[in-house]
Amino acid sequence: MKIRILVVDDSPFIYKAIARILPEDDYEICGSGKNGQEGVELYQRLKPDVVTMDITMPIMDGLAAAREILRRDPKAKIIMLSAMGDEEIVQEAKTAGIKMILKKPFKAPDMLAALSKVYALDNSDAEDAAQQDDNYLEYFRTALKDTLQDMAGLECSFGETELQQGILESEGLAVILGIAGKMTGRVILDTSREVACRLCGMMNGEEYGLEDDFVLFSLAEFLNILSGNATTNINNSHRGLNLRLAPPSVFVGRRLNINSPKVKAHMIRMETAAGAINLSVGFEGS
Amino acid sequence: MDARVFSPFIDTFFQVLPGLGIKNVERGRLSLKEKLSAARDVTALIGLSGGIRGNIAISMDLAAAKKIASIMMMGRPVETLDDIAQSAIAEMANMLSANAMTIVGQNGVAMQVSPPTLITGEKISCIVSQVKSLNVEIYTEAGIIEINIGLES
Repeated sequence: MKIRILVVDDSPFIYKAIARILPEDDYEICGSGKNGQEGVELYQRLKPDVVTMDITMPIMDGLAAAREILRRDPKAKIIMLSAMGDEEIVQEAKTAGIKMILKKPFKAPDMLAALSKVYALDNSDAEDAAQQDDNYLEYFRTALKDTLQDMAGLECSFGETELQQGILESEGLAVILGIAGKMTGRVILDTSREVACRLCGMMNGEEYGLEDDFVLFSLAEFLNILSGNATTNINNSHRGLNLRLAPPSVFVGRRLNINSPKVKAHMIRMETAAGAINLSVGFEGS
Repeated sequence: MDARVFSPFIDTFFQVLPGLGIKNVERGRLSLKEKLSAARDVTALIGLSGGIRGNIAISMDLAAAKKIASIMMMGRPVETLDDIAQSAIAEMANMLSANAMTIVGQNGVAMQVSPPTLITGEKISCIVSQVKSLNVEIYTEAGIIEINIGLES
């Protein structure tokens, strides 16, 4: 089931920016309003899962609209979008019970993280904490998509995500990269050797054989770059986390089983023109 | 590279294994490799970052892994390397790396370790990391444990 979003913003630009970054498989924009008053009416009619609400709007501003929505539905999940100069209103919004405030301009992973976090809010701290991992996951998802595009020219969808429990049965080739810092974990890129060869070919414009060591080095560098981008963005948005990466290692074998007993992981499954590529992202003790 | 940077990763075996009940710990053959690689049945991989960046791969044959898991579980017989036995091996790797991190810290270097990832399978043909690495065999009553240390200078 898709998560239904109501976008309340007087700027068509922001509407477009949000529409563009939402993965089609997981989200739909069920309505849009150009001012606070429309926002309140649409909320009543559409009952969306999450609302994104601009602060400064004509007729009724975002804060007044959010208060009205929360008065009628205290469980309403609202993300306020704040611009420069809105600092005082941000304070007011927090005291009014707004769960999440995002600064404009926002980056795609920050918006996706905010949406999935607010959507999962259930007035319970436990779920809130569990949801934390999913936020980091969005950074890796975006980095995987972008890196496939930048390095191999591959256009991909956002892929499917599932909780990865127990042992990961490798498709044949796994690149593993340790993460340390305020949180510790690991990221694993898993694919078949055939897909790895095709991907390597797309990255380097030549053909490679199954026994070619260069394929392994290319895949290692691919994971290194995408993880570097993801953690840089995470570190910029979450001060004090200071995530750092260990160098990647590549494992090839038959019936390769991979197990990180101390880690809770999610798996992103991405279908590409080169074949299926899986990315498992997990952190410890969450 | 100063050979002394490797020693915490070897010393840690002598500090940790006896505490787990694994006896007769001795250092065996030591060799330098062009690439980090480990080709035994069971490997625990741990990433290092911070003041020292690299990977360590603690590798052993299936029989040794089962014996170690059994010793760590108070002598309970281990027929197959199931989930519980695997988490015992991961726990050993975790203790070895955490203790090495402490020794490195005492030497004034802030190193961080990632949680261990366990790799098992048939015909694991290679493990690659593009750095020169030190391979040390540690003899124990449970069999040989091999540690491969690949550090970026």
